[in-house]
Amino acid sequence: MTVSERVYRVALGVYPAGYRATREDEILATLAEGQGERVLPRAGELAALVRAGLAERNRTDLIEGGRWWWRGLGSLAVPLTCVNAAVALAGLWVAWSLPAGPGPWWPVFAALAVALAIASAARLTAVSTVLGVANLAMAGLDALTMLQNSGTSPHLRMLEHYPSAGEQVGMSTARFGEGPAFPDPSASVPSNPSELVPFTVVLALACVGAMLSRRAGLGARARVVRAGLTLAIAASLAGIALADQDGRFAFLLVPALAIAAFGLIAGLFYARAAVVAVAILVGSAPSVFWYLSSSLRVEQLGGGLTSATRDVMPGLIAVGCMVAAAGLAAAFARRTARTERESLSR
Amino acid sequence: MNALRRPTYFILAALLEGPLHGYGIIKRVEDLADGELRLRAGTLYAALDRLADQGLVIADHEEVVSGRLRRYYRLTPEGGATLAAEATQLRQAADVVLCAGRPATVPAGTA
Repeated sequence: MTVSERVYRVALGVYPAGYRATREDEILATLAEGQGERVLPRAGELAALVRAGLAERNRTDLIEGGRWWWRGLGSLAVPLTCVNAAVALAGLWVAWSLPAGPGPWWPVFAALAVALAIASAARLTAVSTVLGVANLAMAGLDALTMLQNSGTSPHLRMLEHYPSAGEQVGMSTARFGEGPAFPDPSASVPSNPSELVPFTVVLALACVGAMLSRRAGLGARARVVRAGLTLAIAASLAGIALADQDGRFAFLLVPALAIAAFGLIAGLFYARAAVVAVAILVGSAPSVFWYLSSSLRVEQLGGGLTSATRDVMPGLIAVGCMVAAAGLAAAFARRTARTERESLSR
Repeated sequence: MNALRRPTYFILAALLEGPLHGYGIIKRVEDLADGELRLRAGTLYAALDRLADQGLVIADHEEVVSGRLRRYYRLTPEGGATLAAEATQLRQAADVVLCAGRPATVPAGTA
């Protein structure tokens, strides 16, 4: 088997299994004829395969009947298993690092999520989905807590070092200089976005790998591969969380952006993928808001006085963009499903 | 019936002279469109599936050449009729511009 054929075969994994069973050899033969002496696969052919594969999945979904958006929510199980594992691992790290700990839930999620990832049992993924939704909902509650009473959320320890907004005005610069009472607010934010690129790449590759590992032919090894990839994702995400010492929030931002882009593109061909993206975008928006709003803007007022205010604009802008992306993905999904239905009913 | 999209039109046209397999269709379409339309395999098979669903194209026979599967496709009578109807419409649309009594001009100095 040539290099290009191997790569094309992997790309064909995007198609539903039933379709591959009848068409894979024929499509590979056509690709091989067009390949000529060329060693590497053509990017255009790969893109066309992925696009047509997603569209074929969409078609299969609609032919099989039922509610496509409901199936989309069912598909949340795999990414949520990853999120669960990552949040849980990060939570464990925070629990070990801080005297008070992050609350009782994350180690529990850790055990369950990792166990589920290893078992990869289809029936248990429903449990994982529920836990994932619970995770996102708790993050949303945390964000609300922050809005009502800044800095008292039990999950963002660093903010507790900050005085409330009222106390900050009037603080002397001498006090500011002492350090521990007023730590650098940027410490929790990755100083350079490019630091997150490797993790994003790992995440994307692992997600694609996890999806493709379901292909027929991997046999009994598939479950082991999937479990390994899930843990790799979890370890990567936990690494990000570990790096910024905040516990949970940095890693939500980058995957949210990646998922937004994926949802917008995939939603053009595959309604179910867009549903997954919409659910994760909407679910993680409060957490992203909280994360981006955790920095303080410090101003010198003169006369030795300093004012520190929480800057919520970046958070509001990010959440606005995420909600807009979710709306657009939902619109794409509806249009894709409707177009396919009309085509099927002709 | 909606107008056929350009790749679909050329795929049907490629099968006018007889059954062809996947790569044969790609090459024939490229020739017919003077090299301006190169079908990707993913696009071709998605189009063939739709055309088969609509009853315009049907699998004719299979061959194994150098260990590789070739499935040949041919036009159905309905496919031939659809293609002819589309071509007639295109000709009529082209005639509106090309065979008008005088060439369309933009009046100079219109306010």
